[in-house]
Amino acid sequence: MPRAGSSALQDFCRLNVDLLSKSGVAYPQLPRLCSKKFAAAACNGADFSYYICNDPGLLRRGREGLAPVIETLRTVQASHVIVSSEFFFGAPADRLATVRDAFKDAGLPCGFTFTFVNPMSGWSRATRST
Amino acid sequence: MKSRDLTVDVNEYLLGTLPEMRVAGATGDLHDVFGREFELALYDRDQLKGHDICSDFFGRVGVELGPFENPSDVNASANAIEIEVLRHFNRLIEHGLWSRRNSRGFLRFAKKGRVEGPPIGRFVRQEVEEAVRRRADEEVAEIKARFFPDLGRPLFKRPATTDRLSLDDFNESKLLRAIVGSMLSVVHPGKQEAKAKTP
Repeated sequence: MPRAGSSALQDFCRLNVDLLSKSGVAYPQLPRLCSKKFAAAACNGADFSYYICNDPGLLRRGREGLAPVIETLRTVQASHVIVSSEFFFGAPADRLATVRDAFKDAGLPCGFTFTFVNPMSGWSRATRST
Repeated sequence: MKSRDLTVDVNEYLLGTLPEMRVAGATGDLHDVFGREFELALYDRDQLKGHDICSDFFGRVGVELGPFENPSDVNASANAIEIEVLRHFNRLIEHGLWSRRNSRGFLRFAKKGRVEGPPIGRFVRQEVEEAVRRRADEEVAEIKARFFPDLGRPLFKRPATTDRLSLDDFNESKLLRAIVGSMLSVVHPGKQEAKAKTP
């Protein structure tokens, strides 16, 4: 079954931090927001995206809950910061909007580059750039 | 599909995903939230910049990378024997005898041990494949109508149908050989290489 390549991109980013840095791209490790533990995979946005999708904290605390991630990203010296996770795909729209607005207000405009997969593999592969 | 986490037969897994499939809806949500900052691209290996997903992606976000090497087998799909072994191992998770983070390690061992097998797609039953195609066609039609209305061709090439196999062919001895071979590749790497070179 064909796939879209998100894991390949994540592996590439994890293994080529220096190369990316020379081109002004950062692939940072983010502070943990969830109590859930994730496998030590190349995907640097697993915890963050899981928090957005599933953690009631985002609804309860709103933007405040995102502060540790935003503070980390604000310290990164790069023209592009990549945060990647398949969990972003399928996240509730209202929560994504909360994240978008919080980032925007913090001076971190964000976009979404999404490579769509073949129908037989079917599911989500998303990579977000900020 | 995330084959590394399977605990059930691939057919059961696929049928279980159908009610949850909302590719068009989720894509629409992203577009609604991010607007012009959202870019949707069709995955077509022949059309990728440099025929490479990394070059293509960074080109899309406006970053020119210097020269780099990206092995063609990076993150290669697990074959059916590897997935079947993992499926059984994953059932040990609730007993605390295995964790999902072990699966990547196992696949590395399996690669060293040269565990070979057919792709898992050949084990999808015909009726399951047809059910997946029907459901996916609905999603794809919705996406085409919204995001690619002027494209004068189908969004995707339909994968060719291949000969079907049965997971019943995978008896315990075959799986056991895969497991033992993988572990031996770590403990006695030389023996595995010597064995592989034997005609």
